Amino acid sequence: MAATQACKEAIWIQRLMEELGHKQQKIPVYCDSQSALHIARNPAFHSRTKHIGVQYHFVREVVEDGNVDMQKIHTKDNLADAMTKPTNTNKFEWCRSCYGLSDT
Amino acid sequence: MQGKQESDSTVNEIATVQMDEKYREDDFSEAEPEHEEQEPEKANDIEVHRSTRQRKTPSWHSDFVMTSYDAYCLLTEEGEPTTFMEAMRNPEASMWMTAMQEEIKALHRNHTWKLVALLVGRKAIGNKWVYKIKKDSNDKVERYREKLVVKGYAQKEGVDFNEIFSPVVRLTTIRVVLAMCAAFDLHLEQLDVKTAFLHGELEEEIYMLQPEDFEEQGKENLVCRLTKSLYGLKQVPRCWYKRFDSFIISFGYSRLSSDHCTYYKRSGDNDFIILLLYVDDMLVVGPNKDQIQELKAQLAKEFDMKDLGPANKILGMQIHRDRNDRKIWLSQKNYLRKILQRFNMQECKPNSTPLPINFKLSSSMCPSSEAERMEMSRVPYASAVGSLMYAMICTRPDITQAVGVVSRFMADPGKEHWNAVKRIIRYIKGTSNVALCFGGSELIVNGYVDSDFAGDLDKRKSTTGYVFTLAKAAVS
Repeated sequence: MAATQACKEAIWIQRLMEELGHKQQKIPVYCDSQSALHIARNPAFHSRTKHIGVQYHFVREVVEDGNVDMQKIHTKDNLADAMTKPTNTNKFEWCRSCYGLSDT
Repeated sequence: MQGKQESDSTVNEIATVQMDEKYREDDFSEAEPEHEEQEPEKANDIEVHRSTRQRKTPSWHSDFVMTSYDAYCLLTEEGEPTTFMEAMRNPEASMWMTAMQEEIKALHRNHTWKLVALLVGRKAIGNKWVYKIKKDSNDKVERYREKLVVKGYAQKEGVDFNEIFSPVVRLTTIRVVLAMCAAFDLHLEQLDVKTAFLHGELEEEIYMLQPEDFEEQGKENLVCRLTKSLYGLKQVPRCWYKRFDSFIISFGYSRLSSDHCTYYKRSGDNDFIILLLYVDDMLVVGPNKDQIQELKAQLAKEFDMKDLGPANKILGMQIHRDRNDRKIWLSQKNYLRKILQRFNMQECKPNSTPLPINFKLSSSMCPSSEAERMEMSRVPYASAVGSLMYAMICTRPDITQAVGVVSRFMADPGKEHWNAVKRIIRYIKGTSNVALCFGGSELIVNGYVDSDFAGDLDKRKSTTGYVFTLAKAAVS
């Protein structure tokens, strides 16, 4: 469900870049939850996802429109992992270097 | 951020200033009956009834622990007078006087106000001088500087101001533009507007009393009707923004709908200029140096500009560039060092991660007894978290999660929570040299999403996180 927030941000960045003269194609958004991806890709109505509010169907709409491309990624390759939970040193340092943080 | 004692003394000073004005205004009080609210006692004695109740600052003020080396403090330091009376008694009174006369002259030159008679039913607001001694790097006095400020707190909504918000550029935009800059090897220049706020034009009618001791001869009972904005008014930032906005748009720049402080102009196929505005700081980006120079000349014609050349510092972030390698580093070394100093942790042992694995905080760790709460009230919890938060949104996405966790307990921090904050500061100590590095030749946005499943022990809420990377560095 984090995907909703991410998609909103993705659309904003896309618009900003377009206005600055660099149109992005599809923005790939990587997610490590298989079920979240299924919900996002498959427009069928699942009885078990009733509790997921209307705003989350926004993701589905965005994916259908082709603005955002949801893709599966393994947890160990997910950069956003360090954003949500305390991780061990190795993983944390790897994430940090991927954020572009480096010693000067 | 003002400390307890300091804020008390400021209140006292303001009280004395108001008293002074009262004495002066008594002379012509007959002419201005609408001043009633400001001086209710003027018909009677000057004796004012004051409550004798002991004044106590609320407990949350104790959070703001003030340290003398704090660079942001608004208070005047030693040797700088705080009121007009004090300045006149000061041994350097003549210096202050000449500086004030210059300032008044400058304001007249700028047509800041017109002298008019006060309309019935309107109130004029007071003003105050703020004194500052500018020192150069060798601690020698460079010049005496004052500003005339309006007491903005006396303004009434709907009468003296309507809307007071003013947009500033989003930090994400700054990072996106820097990433573009690195990828396409663009010119990056910085400009600064001197006394930006004095350029704004007021829409509302605001009346101000004439500055103390600078009343014009024979017109003592007139008041100033402000036409240009002056420091201290609530709507000043908005006035300035509007003024700049209309000015820059008249040059064919377009404001982006996604960020209202970003302006863009395209001229030709591979030629464009991006302008980011942060109150009075500007970043100008473009591939063509001549175009940038032209823009600078246009701006200098209209405003009092300072050209800072290639950008090296914005909002306390240092920008370091290697154009051959097409890389830009963005760091906050000095700010982080200041945080360490402020919380007396320069000598602490560094940590490798901000929070240990499987580390959880909950509200059950909040203080249970009054005694514990008292003890925690001595800890600068809120200001520590606040300082870390600024570092986080500027250049340090790596501490996002940790800061997010500790900031949930801002209202009632316990000992465990404070220990977690200290751990983050220790992590900062170990990594204060780390900088955000933009580089790479392609400009592709990638997003990553994650969520922890009900990681909050109290409310069973999940944390969601996302990262967008552009030119090999996180932008959002």
